[in-house]
This record gives sequence, C-alpha cells and structure tokens, in this order.
Amino acid sequence: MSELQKQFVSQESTTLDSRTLALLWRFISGLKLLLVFLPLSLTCITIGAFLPSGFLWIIAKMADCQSYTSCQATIPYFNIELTLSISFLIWLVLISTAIRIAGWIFFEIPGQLATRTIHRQMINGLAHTRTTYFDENPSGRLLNRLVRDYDQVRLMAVVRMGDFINSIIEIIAIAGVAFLSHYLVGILIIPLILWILYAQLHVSMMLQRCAIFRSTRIGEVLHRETDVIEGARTFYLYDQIPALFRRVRHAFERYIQAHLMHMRIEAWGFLWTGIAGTLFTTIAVFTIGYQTSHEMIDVVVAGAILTSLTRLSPAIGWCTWVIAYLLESVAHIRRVFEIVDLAPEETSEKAIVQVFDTHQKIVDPPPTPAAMLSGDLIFNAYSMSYRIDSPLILRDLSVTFPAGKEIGVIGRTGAGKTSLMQSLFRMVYVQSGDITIGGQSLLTCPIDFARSHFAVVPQDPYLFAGSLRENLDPYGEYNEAELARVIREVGLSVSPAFNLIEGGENLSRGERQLLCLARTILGSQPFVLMDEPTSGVDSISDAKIQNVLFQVLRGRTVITIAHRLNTLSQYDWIIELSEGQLLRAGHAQELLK
Amino acid sequence: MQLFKPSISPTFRRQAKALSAAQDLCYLKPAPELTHLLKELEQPADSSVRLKGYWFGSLNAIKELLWQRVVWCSFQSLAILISVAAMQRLLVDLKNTRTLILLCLIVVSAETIKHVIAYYDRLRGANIMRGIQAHLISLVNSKLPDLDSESEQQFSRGNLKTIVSSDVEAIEDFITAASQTWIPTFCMLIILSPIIIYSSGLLGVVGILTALFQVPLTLLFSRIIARIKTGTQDKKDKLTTVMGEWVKNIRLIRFLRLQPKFSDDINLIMRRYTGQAARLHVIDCLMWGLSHNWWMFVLASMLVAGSLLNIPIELNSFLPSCWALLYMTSFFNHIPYSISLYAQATASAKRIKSLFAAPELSRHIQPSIDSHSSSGLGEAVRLYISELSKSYADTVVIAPLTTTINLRQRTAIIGTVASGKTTLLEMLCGEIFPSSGEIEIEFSSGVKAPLWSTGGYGAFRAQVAYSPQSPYLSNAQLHQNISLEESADASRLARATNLAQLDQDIATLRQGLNEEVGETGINLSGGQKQRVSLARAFYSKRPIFFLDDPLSAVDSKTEARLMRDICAESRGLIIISHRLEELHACDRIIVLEAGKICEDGDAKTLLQDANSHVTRYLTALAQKTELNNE
Repeated sequence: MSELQKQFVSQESTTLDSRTLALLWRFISGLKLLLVFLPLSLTCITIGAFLPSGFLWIIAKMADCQSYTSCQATIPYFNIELTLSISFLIWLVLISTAIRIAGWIFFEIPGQLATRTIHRQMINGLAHTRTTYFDENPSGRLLNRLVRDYDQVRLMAVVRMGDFINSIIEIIAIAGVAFLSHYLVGILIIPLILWILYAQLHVSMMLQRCAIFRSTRIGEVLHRETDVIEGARTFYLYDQIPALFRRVRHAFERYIQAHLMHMRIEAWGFLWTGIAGTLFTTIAVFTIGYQTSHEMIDVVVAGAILTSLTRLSPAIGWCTWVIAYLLESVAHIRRVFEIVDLAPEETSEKAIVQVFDTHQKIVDPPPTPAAMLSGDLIFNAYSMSYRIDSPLILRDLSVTFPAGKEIGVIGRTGAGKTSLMQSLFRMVYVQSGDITIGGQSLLTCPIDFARSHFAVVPQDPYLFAGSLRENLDPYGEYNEAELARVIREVGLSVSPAFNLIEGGENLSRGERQLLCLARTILGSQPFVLMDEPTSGVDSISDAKIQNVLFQVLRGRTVITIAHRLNTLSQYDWIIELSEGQLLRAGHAQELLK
Repeated sequence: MQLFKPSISPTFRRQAKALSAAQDLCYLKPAPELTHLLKELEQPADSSVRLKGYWFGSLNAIKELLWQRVVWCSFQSLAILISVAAMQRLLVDLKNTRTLILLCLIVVSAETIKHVIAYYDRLRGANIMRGIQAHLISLVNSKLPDLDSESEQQFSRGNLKTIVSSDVEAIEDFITAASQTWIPTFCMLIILSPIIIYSSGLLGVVGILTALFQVPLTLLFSRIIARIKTGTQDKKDKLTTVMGEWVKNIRLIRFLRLQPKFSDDINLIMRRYTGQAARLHVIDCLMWGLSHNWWMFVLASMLVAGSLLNIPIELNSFLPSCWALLYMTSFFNHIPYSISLYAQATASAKRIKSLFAAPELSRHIQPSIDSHSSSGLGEAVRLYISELSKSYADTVVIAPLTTTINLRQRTAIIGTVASGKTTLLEMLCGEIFPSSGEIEIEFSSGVKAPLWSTGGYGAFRAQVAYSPQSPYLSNAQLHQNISLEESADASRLARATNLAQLDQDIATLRQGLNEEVGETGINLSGGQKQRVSLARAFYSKRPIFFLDDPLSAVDSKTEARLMRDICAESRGLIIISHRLEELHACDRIIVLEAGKICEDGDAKTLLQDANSHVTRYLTALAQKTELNNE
C-alpha cells in the first residue's frame, strides 16, 4: 500500500464515537416531518408486529378444535370470548398486512420528504461559500455530493433507520410471546437484543473499515485492467504480457483477500447473533415443554408460541443485516453535512484563519447602505491571492479608476488583469489593503450589495439554457418593450422568446457577446467590467460592440481588459499592469507613443 | 506493519479495536477451487475455449463450489427437519424430564449446526462470486492484448472498461444471487416438501404452492416499479443537468447575481423529484409489506383450502408443517431479486460475447511455408517494402509505397502533420496490418521472411524496441514502468535510466525509482514520459530502435546527449523527427507527403542542398516556431 493510501485509510477509519452518534442525532432531529408522523408509525409497527402472534394462536386453536367454522375460544390472559371462522382469519391476515404496510409508509415517506430540508441547506451552503471552494473541488465531486450522497441519505439512511426500528420491534414481538409461558423467559429478550446491538455495532464498524481496504484494492485491480486495455500492445511488444498478467493476478488476489475478510466479518456477526437467538429459543422451548408435560399451559398456546419462535431466526438475521449496514449511511450523512456546514464567503475572504463552530451563528452582516456608492474606484495598497497560502497575485496595488470614463486595462498573461475583476467581486483572499468607491470601502459592506455595483461581460459569452428573456431578465423586472429596446440597441433582431440551449451554442459567438452586452444595458450598475469583449468575434459584431460601448453605455464607468493596447486606442484612460503591480497609467494616445 | 487477523470467537470489541488499528489484512486462504481460478488470470485460456466458455463455462469453472453448496444446503434442510421433528415430539407425548432435556439438546444442536453451516456457506458464497469474476476477467484479458486496433471504433476504451468492470460484475451478481437463492430453495423443496405433504396431505401442497406464488407476485411488482421509475429518471437527469450548470458556472452566476434564481430552480425540481420518488416508494412499501407477511397468507391458505375441500385438520400434524413452511418462506423472499438481475446479466453477456467475436490482430499472421526456427534466423538486416498501403474507410493514409530500408543504418522519416509517418512506422514494426502490399525481412542468415508470418513476426519483433509518440504509462511505480516487470533487474535499470537521461529527474522524485507515476503518468512531465519510454527501449537491450518523435518535449541539451546514447545503443534506427540535431545523426532521410515519398536520399547531401525538400521544410518549420514564440 502506498503512503497516500495508508493516509486515506487512517483518515477514513470509523469508530463508534460520540461524533458519529451526534451526527445521527442531528440527522434524525432535523427530519421534522418524520417526527410528526413517528407516533403514528410506531403504533402501526408495534400492532403489525404483535398481530401475527394472535393469528398463530387462532390457527392453532382452529386446528385443535378441528373446525373451520364455529370454534368457540377464550383468548387466554384476556378472557375474551370469540367465535373463530375462516372469514375472521382472512380479515386478520389482511388487516395485519395493511397495518404493517401503513407502519412502513408512515415512517419512510415522511422521512424521505423531510430530507428535502437537508438538500435545501446543501444548496444554501454551496450558494454562499467562497468561490475558490469550487476551484479546489472538481464539479464532478460536488455533483456526487449533491446527487449521489444525498440520494443515499434520502433513501437508504431513512429506509435503514425504519428497518432497524421494525426489526427490533419484530424481535420483541416474536420473543415477547414467550412471556406467556413464563415471565422469566420473556425477560431474557433484553439481554438477547443487547447482545445483538453490541455485536453488530462493532461488526458494522469493522465492515466499514474493511470496505475501505477493499475499495483501494479494487482500485489496484482497475489500474492493472487499464494496463491490459490501453497498454497491452506496449507490454506485448516487449514480451511482458506474462508479467502483466502476473500483476493482474496479484492485484486481484489482494482484492479477493479484502473481500473474503469483509464476508467473513459479516458472516461472523450472523453466526454469533444466530447462536444467541438459538440459546434463547432453546430455553423457551424447554420451558414450554416442561409446562406442557405438567399441564401448566394449554397445548394450543404452547403450539402458537413454538410456531412464533420459528420466525425468530429470520427476524434476527434481518436485524443483524440492517445494523451491519446502518453505519454505512453515516458516511453519506457526514459528507452531506460537510456541504451544509460550509462557511459563508464573508467569513473566509480575509486571510485570517477563522475557527468556526458548525452550530455557531455567523456574525451578522453589516447593514446595507441606503444608496449605491458612486465616485472613483480606488485600489489602496491591495494584495490578494487565490488561496490562503498561495503566492500573491496582486501585490500592494494602488490604482485609481476615474468614474464615468472608459478605462482599459492591459498587461501580459499573469499580470493580474482577471484577478482585478475577481477582487471587485470579492471572490479571492484579501491579504491586505482596501478597495473603495467614492471613499466607501467595498470590503466591509454586505457582499451582495458590493456585487450589485458591477455588470460583467465575460470573455466567454455563456448563456444559460432557457429562453432569451430568462437570460436577460431572470427575475421578471422589465416589460416586453424594454427587452425589445435593448435587443435593438445592440443591433440584433432576436425575439425574447427565443430558446437557447446550454451555453447558448445555437447563436454565434458575436451574437452571444452582444446579448451579454444587452444584459448589461438592462441592468443599471454604475460599473461595467469587460474581459476581452471582441476576441474571436466577427467584424460586424465587433463594430456593433464598439458602438454599444461608446454610445449606449456612455456615462457609466467601463473597465475593459485586453491583451493589446491598439484595440483600446479610443479609450479615455489606460492602466497597464505587470506582475500584480501598476506599471503605468495614462491616456491611450500618450501610451501609444 | 500491523495486520488484522480475524478469529471466530465472540470477542467483538477486541477485534474491532484490532482492525481499526491495523494497517493491512492478514492472508485468508481462498478455497482451493478459487486458487485454481486465480491461476487462470495468469495464464488465460486461448480463444477457442473463450468463445464457448463465457456463460456456462463460468458455471462449469465453479461447479465444485456449487456442488459443495448443494451438499451443505441439504444438511441445513436436514437440520431444520430434525429441529421441527424434535419440537413436534415435545408438544405431543412428553413422558419425562429426561426426554425433554434430550429433545432440547437436539433442538439446540440442530439450530447451531444450521448457523454454522450458514457461516461457512456465506464464505463459500464469497469464493463463488470472486471465482466467477476471476474466470470472466481472465477470459476478457486473454482477448484484449490481441484486439485489432481497427476494432477500436467498435470498442472504445471506455467501452472496454465497462465490459471489464460492470459487465463482468452484472454476470457475477446474477450467478451468485441465483446460486445463493435457488440452491437452498431446491434443497428445501426436495427435503422438506415430503414431510409437509406427509403430515398435512393436500393442505401441505396448497401451502407450498402459495409459498411459491410469492415469486410471480413480487416479480409483477418489481416490473411495475421499473416501468414507473423511468419517469423519475428523467427528472433526476434534469436535476443533474441544472446542478451541473450551476456548479460549473459558479463565477458567472455570481457575476450576474443569478444565485437566487438557480437556488429556486434547483429546489423546485428537487421538490418535484423527491415528491414523485416518495409516491413511488409507496409501491415499494406495499411490496415489502406483502412479502414480509406472506407466511400468514401461506398458513391461512391451508385453512381456507381445508374448509373449501372439507379436509379435516389436526393440531399435531398441522403445526410441524407450519414450521417447515415458515422456514421455507423465509428463503423464498430472495428469489425475485435474483430473477431481476437476469435481464442485466444477459445484456452484459451479449457485450462480452461481441468482444470475443471481434477480429484479432494475430489472425493476419500466416504460417510460414519453410519452417525456420525463429532463433536460427539471425539479426534482421533489411526491410523490403513493396506496394505497401494503408487506408481507413475512404481516406488513404499511405499510398502504395516501395522501398528498402537498411536496418544497420539510421533512417529518419520527416513530413508534415498527417503525412502518414506514424502509420508507416507502426506498419513497419507490425503494430498495424497494411491494407495491401508486403513487408519482407532479410535476416543475417540470408533467409527472407514476410513480417506477417509465423517465422518472421516473432523473430523480427523480438529485435525491435518501439517508442510511440505518446507512450502509455501504467499507474504503477516508475521502475515497473521502465522494465514492465514486477521487479526490475537493478543494474540493467540503472543503466537504462542513465542512458535515457532520467537520473536527474529521479533524484528530484521523493520516492526515486519507486515513485508512483499516477494514472497515465500524470505525475510526470511530457518530456519525462518520453524518456521513460526510451528507457524501456534501453532496458530491453534490443538492437533496433523505432522511435516516433521521441524528443519533441525534451530540452536541447538533453536532446544532444540522448541522441548520442540512442546512436551508441542501437545498431539500426528508424526515427520520426523534425529536429536538425537528430537528422544530422542519421544516414538517410525519407520525406513523406500525403502518404507518398517525395524525397529520399543521403542525409548529408539533402541537408546541405538548399533546394531540397528537407531544407525547405525545416526552414518553414523554424519560421513557424518563431512566430508562435512571439
């Protein structure tokens, strides 16, 4: 095993500690809807578990009096007179099945629906976490958390919890009938259930740990299979196919070892809980036999109890299985809550190590100023990086963006042009300094308010799947005429009802870019940020874009990022960056000289 | 290293502690039959066995294990029988306490034996499952190295990976589940039914039939569920798409402040999806409830039948058959599951079968007319290429081409992108089969043999070290990637890394030669990967090198040293290259253009001639690079 895998194993090792239980408790207590239905469901489950014992007694009674139609009986211990008949029996079967199904439905359906709250919390957690979190976690992994882990929590965690309660009550109901022979036998269920719990919770932990060994070893097998699939010709050329197959075998054997161990632990649990059940059954059988031979107990009751006891073994098996895999759900629950508990971006944007407790309320956001900020945009000795510990991208940058002007930002790759934009949107770690608009700090006001000052035309004009209207006006704030006006203003003639596919791929790049501009015109943000708006755009669209920039958007502060100075020759003010610092600033014509 | 050793004793806490502290697991002895199947992985069966042996063959491979299971399950049924009989005696004519104790002892031992058998049967089940997997993987593996590269369209790499992992698993799941449920079921039916029928007569038959009726009933339910679930799948796909768009474009969404809209959209679709899934779950609950309480229907059906047919019942004979039936029903619960796996297993089997039917590269190798032993042929001296061509579908990659290549010389092939260089080189070393034409090899013994003949193919290829343009690196340690063996010969390895100029790079790696290179060598740079591939050639000590642009990602200083080593280590060389340095080291240059030789001659003459294709091509290339750099 490599060093990395060892680390992985030790990290993921699970023990039945207070944190696991706390997590389970947090999960269960969060399922409000389930808690409402719980009394009803428990009642159904209990009745559904005890009715079969009555059924068995009736069957034994009917067999004893050798009559299908009119068997007078007195229910023992209750002294209720009954006339037994086939139709009565059938009704009993149907009712007890219906009650059992109801018990399940009342537990699992509310349980599933209640987990929606958790998913909403997950979405909320991700929606407000720092942007760099998405760089550090590949989208596939996040989707896995949102879809697969949540699905496991929604379905398996709830079902297993339900099955756990069901199986314990079932054991109590089956073995509890032995109470009727002697109360001491009945009391023996308690150690029986405690033993099953004790043994299986340990087995469950072991299975989880074994599963980790197994999954790393499956990984090894798959690596070797990749060798066979993709690299076989290389191995063949150098006559090393036998060596390759030897390694396949070796990897497979190691995997089999982990699997055999897994199965062995599972079987081991079944064996000992089964034997405990057998001991209990034997004691009950002995008591019943003794009492029957001394005519202390009715032979019908004895028969019913014995029949009931034959069902004990499968019930214990069920319980054993459920507990063995119950903790598997905890792993999924843990991952889901990791997303729920993500810190909001305000708390993590400053490069100060924040120690936060999951249950602690995050400090209240600062109050939103009454009006939009206006004035010059100033970076003041500002430094930032993309991770707390990664090198600075903008270093001690001090630069002023005069209000109401067209400003170009140029610089080589890596000069920090895009970081400038990300800094304005507060998507980075602020290491020092401040950004102000008209003297007001952008970094201390609420993050949504800060962002509402900027409109963006990204380098890659992406439009979301859906109608054009939804893209331009996602919250339905503008009427038809206004939408038509902005589309006309950017020189296009597309209907707002036009349907876009993912990414807006059914329009040309130039058209998409113009629609992004239209979106910008519609919003009333005082600052417009553009990243290489004319790159990869045909000449007609290019002309239209220039027209929008200098005619329609006049009056707003336009900040355009570009590689080359000559595309910005008409701009009012040019800022050149180099290695995260201001190289020079001035009028375009001056700099061009 | 701390190992975990399991023990059978009930020391749960101690063992759990030991396992959580353990770094590795102890060696568990697999069943002897499984060990046998594991050996198959090392020496896969040949193709003739393969085609008939994937389905019943896998059953055949584990037939001993299956038979053992039959025997054990019969014992288990017998144990149930004994315990039922003992309980029946207990209820009817109990005379004294001694008999009571004896009967209880019988019950406890029968039940314990049942559990012990179940324990061993679970272990056997694990062996069966992995045995089938080993068998199927070895069958697939025996095919893969010989798969003709032209069937890559039919079987992409992703496709093949699916076959190896999930298709094999689907078949294995089905066979395991089937053996786990059908064998005990049959054993129970055979051993317990006579007793049930003996004690309850016709009522017993009704009971058994009702117990079996559960199977079609649950199948019907699972059919219904499967049909309705396609609807939720659509919703789930939509959900995944929206969440994917959200997660992938989070910056843009924050730029445009679209977050509330996305949150609302996702929550709405989620609401619908979970709502529908919950409604469907009602049917699941219905099915589970029915199957859980089915034993009540079984017992009730006996009484109903008795009352309809007017068959008298008696407690002493009725109860034992009830007990036996209860045991039986608890086993029947799993049958529908095993049947539901069948459809997937057949689909997977079909894919595996089509893989087996795909053409093999070795089918092109014709038996030689004169049977020379390949060892006596001596070294390969010349390649005679006549009318050699290659085309895919309707694009011609190499137009008919005739030339002779001296394998004691160094030959360079140059040409623009898509001029067919790589295809030509791969044809020359027998990696792909030409569309027409022939390659003949002259050996130092004077014998001429076609490349694609039993005599020529192996003998020639054993002398060739081929390094492709983008070499395959296996997710293993560095030294395994060079030697392609489990553990390499140290001195040969040291020499190979030295010659491939890898020593400096190895010094920077934390684990040195034992460094894991990651999937497709992700932890190495492009140049390092190329040099690993060259180190393979040096390690193999083969005299003829076929190199496909081996130094494109290597800096110029290293390049000069490498070229010196390559020339010193190889007797013959065919190299695809664009670098002046490398071309100067060669004796002959062939210029390819659109699959045709447009220039061919002595390297020095061509490089000095300002009007030659080579010089013009190199000048154009240099200008282009300069432009790019700017």
